[in-house]
Amino acid sequence: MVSVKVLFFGEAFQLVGKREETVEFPAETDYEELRRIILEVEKVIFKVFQKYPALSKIEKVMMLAVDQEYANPGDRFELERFTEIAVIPPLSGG
Amino acid sequence: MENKDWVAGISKSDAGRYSRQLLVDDFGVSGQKNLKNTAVLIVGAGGLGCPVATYLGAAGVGTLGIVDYDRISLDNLHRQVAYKEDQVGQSKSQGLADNVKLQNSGVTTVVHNVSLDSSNAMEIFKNYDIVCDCTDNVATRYLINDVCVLLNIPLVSGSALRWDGQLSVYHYGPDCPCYRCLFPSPPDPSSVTNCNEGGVLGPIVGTIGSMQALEVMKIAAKLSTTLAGKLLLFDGREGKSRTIRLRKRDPKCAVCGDEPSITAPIDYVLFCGAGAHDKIENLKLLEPSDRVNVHEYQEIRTARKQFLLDTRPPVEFEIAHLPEAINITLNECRSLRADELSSRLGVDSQTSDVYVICHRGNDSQRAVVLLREKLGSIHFRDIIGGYEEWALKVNDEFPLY
Repeated sequence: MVSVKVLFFGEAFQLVGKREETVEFPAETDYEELRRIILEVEKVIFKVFQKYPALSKIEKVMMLAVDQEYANPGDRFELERFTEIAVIPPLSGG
Repeated sequence: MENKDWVAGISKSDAGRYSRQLLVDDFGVSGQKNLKNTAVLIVGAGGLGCPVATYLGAAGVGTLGIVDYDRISLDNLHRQVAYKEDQVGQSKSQGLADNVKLQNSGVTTVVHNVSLDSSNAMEIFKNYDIVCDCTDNVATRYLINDVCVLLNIPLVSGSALRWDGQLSVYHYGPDCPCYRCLFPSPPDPSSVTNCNEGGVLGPIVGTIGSMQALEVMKIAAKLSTTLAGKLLLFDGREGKSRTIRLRKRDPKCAVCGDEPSITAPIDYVLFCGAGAHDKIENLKLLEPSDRVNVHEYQEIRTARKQFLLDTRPPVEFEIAHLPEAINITLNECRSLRADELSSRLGVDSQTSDVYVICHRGNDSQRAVVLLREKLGSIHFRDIIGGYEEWALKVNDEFPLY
C-alpha cells in the first residue's frame, strides 16, 4: 500500500468538506479500484461507514486525474508517494 | 521610388489603435487581421461574458454576437463589471453590446435577446467562427456543445463558482474531445450548485473570462498553443492553477464520435432533468405533515421558544438569522452522529419538535430526511421557503440575499 494525496475540487470539496486527504491505495491499481476507494473516502476522513457516501452524488460526472492526466476506464496505475490524484466534477456556474 | 509609396500590412488607423498587440510576437499583423475577420458568439452576458466581450471588443474582433434573455439586476453588479447602476433593469445582451460599441466603434455587434434553446441555436450559431460558453447552467452547456460539434465550431468554455474556475477549448482539432466526451451523462440536478446558491467572487469570473478571451485570440490567430485537450483548474483561494491533460476524443461519443446518435439538437431540459437557467428549483421531498409555512412558524415561536436548526453555511448564517437558530450545516447533518447532533442542538429525551430552516427551503428538506433517520424520537419539520419566504411574508427588514 502507498499513501497518496487526493485533491477535491469544486463540488467534491463541498461534499467531502476537505480540500485534500491522504489516502492509502495499493501501489499497483487500476481505474476502477481508484474510483471505488475514492468514493468511500469518508471512511478515511470520518472513520464511519456511510451507506450513501457523499461523493456518490457526483459519481456520474466525477473525473479523476492522476498526476494531472485524465484517467480512463481500464487504465492501470503504479502509484508512488508523490502521486497526486484529483477529483474533478464539472463546474457549471458563470 | 516615390517618397509617398509604402507597403502596408494593416491600415494606418488599425496600426495606431492596436500597436501594442501588433508588437507581440506570434500575434502581430496576421493575428490582428485574422481577429478582424473573425465572428465570435458569446452565450451568456454575465460574469464571464462581460470580460470576454470587453476584451475581445477592445482587441478588435470583427463581429461579436451576444446571446442573453435576462435583464441586469443589482446583485449582478459586483461581478458583471461591464454594467452600470443606471443599466439595472435593461437587457443584458443589448447593454453589453452597447458598452462594447462605446469602447470600440469598429466592432460589429449582434444582439440576440433570446433564451437559447434547441429551436434557435443552430440558426444563431451558424454565422460564427468561434463560440464562447459563458452560461450558468448544465442544460445550456450540453446544448452549446452539441451545436458546436454539429456545425464544427470550436468552443471556448469557461465556468466558475465560489473561489474556483475551469477553462477548456472543446472540439478544436481531430483529437480534441468535446464536453460530452468528458461528461457523457449529466450531473444529478441536486448535486449542481449555481452562483445564486454558492456565490462567486468577481475576480474569479474576471480571471476565467479574461482567459477565455485570450483563447479566442489564439484560435483566431491560428496559434497551436490553445487549451484544446486540456482543462485548466483555477483555485483562487490558494492562488494555484493546474492544467489537466484530458482524454482524446471518444470515438463512441454520442455527438462527436464515429457513429453519433445525436445529429440534431435534443431536449436538454429533459436530458439534464434541470431547467436552462440558474434560477432555484423548488424541491418537494417531504409530506405536508413534515412542513410548516412561515406564518405557522411565526405563531409557534411566539407561543414558546422553539428548537430551530439552521442548515446554511456559516457565511450565510452570519448575514442574518433568527435569534433561536442553531447553525448545523447540511454536511454536518450528514456526517455527525446522533449524540453529537443532540448536544449541538441542546435537545434531550423530552424534546419532541425541532424546526429546520435554510435559505430557500430545499436544503432544510434534505436535512429533515437525514435527521429523522438519526434522531427518530424527534419530529423534524422544515419551514417552507426558508428565510427568503420569512423576509417576504413576515419581516420585510430581514436581509434578502
